[in-house]
Amino acid sequence: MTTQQKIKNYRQSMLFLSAGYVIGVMAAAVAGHSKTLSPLTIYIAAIIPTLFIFAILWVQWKFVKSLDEYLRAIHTEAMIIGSMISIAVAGSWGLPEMLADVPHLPVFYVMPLYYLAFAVSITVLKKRAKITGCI
Amino acid sequence: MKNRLKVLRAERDWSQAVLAEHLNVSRQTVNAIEKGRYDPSLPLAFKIARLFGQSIEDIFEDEA
Repeated sequence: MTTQQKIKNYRQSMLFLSAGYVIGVMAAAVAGHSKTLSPLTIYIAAIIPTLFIFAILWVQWKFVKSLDEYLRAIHTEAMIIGSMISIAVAGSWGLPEMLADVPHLPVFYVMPLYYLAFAVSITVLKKRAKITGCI
Repeated sequence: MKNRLKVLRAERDWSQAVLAEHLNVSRQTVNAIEKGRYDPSLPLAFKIARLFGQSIEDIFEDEA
């Protein structure tokens, strides 16, 4: 399989899984506010989006492993930067939240934060490396 | 790291895409190596050397 085909498959899978995640989160939010659903149903509704999280991470992992060494290095660097930013924000927010009167930030936001930081990082790294197309 | 990859490729009248296919890497990787933006791993350097029938030292120049 060529790199372009791998990229195309990766983009399609990520789009499908991201859409599933967003729909799952919205459905879980609706279920969470429902007064008619049983607690078990709400638990199940809350777990469904996490399946998409695992699937998204798995697809990304498989994609990174399938790339050649140069593209893998760029993608991995962006993943590391994304992880560092999300850990830094979560860690920096967590302590004041625990000890001071800082508003509660749900851990749920770590995932979107990671992918936001990753998206910015990979865009900058690709531009720096003069790479066109998605990796 | 400087290298003679572009010259060797031109001698064979290969495009970056053709060389990338021979090496089983992306065209972007060939481009980055040629421009000196990326130093290949030892296995890839050996692969390049084998492809052109030369030693690694003949293709890559250590600037240290």
